[in-house]
Amino acid sequence: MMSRISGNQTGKETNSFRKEWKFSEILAERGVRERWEKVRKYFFLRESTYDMSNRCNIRCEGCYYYEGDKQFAAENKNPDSWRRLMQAEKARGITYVVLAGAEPSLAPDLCRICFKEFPLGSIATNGLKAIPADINFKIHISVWGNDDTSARVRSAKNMLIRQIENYRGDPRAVFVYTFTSNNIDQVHEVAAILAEHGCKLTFNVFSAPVGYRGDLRHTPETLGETRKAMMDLLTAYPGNVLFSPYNAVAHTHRKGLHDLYGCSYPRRNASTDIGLGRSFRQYRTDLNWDRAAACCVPDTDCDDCRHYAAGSAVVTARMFRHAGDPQTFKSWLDYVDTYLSVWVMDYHKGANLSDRMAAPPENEIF
Amino acid sequence: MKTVSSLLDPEWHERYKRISKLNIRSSIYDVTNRCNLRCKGCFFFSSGEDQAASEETDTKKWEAFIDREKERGVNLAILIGGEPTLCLDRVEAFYRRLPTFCATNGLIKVPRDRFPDMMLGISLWGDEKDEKTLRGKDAFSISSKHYAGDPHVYYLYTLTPNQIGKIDRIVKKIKDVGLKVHMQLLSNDEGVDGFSWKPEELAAIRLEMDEILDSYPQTVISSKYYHKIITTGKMFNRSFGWNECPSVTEPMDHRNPRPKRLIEFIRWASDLETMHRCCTSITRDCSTCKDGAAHMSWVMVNKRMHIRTTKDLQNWIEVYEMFAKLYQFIPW
Ligand code: SF4
Ligand code: SF4
Ligand code: SF4
Repeated sequence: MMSRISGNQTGKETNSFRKEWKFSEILAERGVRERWEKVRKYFFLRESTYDMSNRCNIRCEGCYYYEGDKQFAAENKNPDSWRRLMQAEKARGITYVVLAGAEPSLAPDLCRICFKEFPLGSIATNGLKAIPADINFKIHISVWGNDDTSARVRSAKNMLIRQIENYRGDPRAVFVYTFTSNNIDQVHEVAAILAEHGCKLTFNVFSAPVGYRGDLRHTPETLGETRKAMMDLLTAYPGNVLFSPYNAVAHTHRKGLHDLYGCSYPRRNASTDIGLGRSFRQYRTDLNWDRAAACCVPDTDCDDCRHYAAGSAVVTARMFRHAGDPQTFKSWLDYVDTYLSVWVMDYHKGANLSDRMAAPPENEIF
Repeated sequence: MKTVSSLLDPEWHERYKRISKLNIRSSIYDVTNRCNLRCKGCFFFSSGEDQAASEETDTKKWEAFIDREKERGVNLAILIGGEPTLCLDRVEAFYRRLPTFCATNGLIKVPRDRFPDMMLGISLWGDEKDEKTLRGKDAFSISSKHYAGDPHVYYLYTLTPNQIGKIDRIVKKIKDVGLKVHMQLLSNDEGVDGFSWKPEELAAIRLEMDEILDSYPQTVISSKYYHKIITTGKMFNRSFGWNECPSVTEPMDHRNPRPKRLIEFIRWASDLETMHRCCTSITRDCSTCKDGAAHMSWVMVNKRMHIRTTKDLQNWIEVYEMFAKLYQFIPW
């Protein structure tokens, strides 16, 4: 069902309470048509993900990679196998690759093979070892708090400075700050340092792996605080922060992404008829994949999933539900514009169309 | 209890009565295994249906066969193939006996002195560039010359993900040559080219189809409810697919329980003996099937479900009317 807003906000009321918007009326609002044309050029993106290595140079608490059995897959390091896999992926319609794992920077040659076959993709890294400049993928550098925290939960010293040294001024780089329940305040210090060095920053929300018992898991209170911090930073560093008010709503909501939007990754979705349920695969280091486990953050507890990578597919897929009124549609456009700027080289984020938070369709705002 | 008359005002009730008299019984016929085009993604060739049977060439046998079909109760012959216009004698054998609809690529002009009011649906796969890529030819420029202004012709426009944003221009071209258009979605059996649909693409195409219908109500034969059904594959809480599909060849339908279905429907191969599973190819995965006629029929055979609210019943009537218009049972 389309969501509707009360007619008196618009002056174009058609009956006593609600207005049913035509899509052309929504597009006629200022800035909306341009943004719609801009983002829909990227509907062709069809992603899959690949574990590049089962090794990592640090070991973070709560890392989902070292949950479940994917960490025990053998490493296939044969360049020809990788090239053939990439070609086969292209043939089945994949247009975008996400290289992750444990730590992809430990397998630069394999990353390069992927890049040669796919012009579009991204690499998730901890940023301690620079990825050669000729691999022109977006690079997502994970940040889990200030350096004291990193030293504690990631056992790595001077982490932020080492990451910045590797990636300062690099158009590929986006720093991804993961909010856990106990690093919320530290984000201000981290954002200030990143902004000072001209780095781009976006936000992730810690999503507990299945069976996780540590204390990083969020509560409604910490989600509220996280939301506030996100909104503050959006205002404080508009040139550095790649985010929007609706991103904040979607990722800090009391309900997880699956509850709010219905996750379409194969793990949650038995249907193979459209979209991710049909095309998405998550390859392990031995180049096998398992439909029952496939999502962009395998071994994450779906009820707690607020992961930024999950949202980029899950929220984007729910376009129709967001096309019922201008405010909701603008919010959706901001979300998609944000995700593209984070994931696609040479895609530049526009100013957010909406500076207010909007409730997800058929839900409360928190 | 909700009844038809309690839900409809007199005007809608008239519309309802007009269609409830129709009692359409269609079947589908492969007129020939040959075609003068070879389109990428054409299910007839990609699934090997052109090899399924060797075509009957004796027109007398076709005539006798069609007479038997008529006795079986068929009152609408839908001709597909291959390209039916390569075998006009066979087409004529149908046309003289039964209400006949002929799907064509429009490259060969059907002579109107022989077939004065036969309804033709011309397949269209996108703009000039798309048609060149997918069919090797800008077929529209030829077919539109053959049929400009013809009241018994419409385009059957297949939408793919890469048609998003382009529909308006194409519908305008069709309007400008004085023809009508009906839209359907590509199922993409071979998984090539636009690949399978993504949810945001289906949402975008649905909104665009709705807009086009509002902007060109005289040119576009469609209904918003049909757009919803075909882009979501959902009718109330039911999902389209093998368990629900109404367009399965009757003697081959061993489903248990049997869903509501088209009565006596058969899709015949061109040897007049072989039957195909359904209105499209056997190799198609039902969970990806976007066949337009099958979705329309799905709505039509499930009338009872729509006797719920006024809006639901009106939706049902609109889909039925659309079908009836496409096969010339009621005027445009
Ligand atoms: S963890 Fe998140 S992205 Fe993965 S299947 Fe669960 S809800 Fe979907
Ligand atoms: S014109 Fe029709 S039958 Fe011929 S190849 Fe194209 S789609 Fe197939
Ligand atoms: S392929 Fe489509 S038309 Fe054929 S049986 Fe399956 S759902 Fe029905």
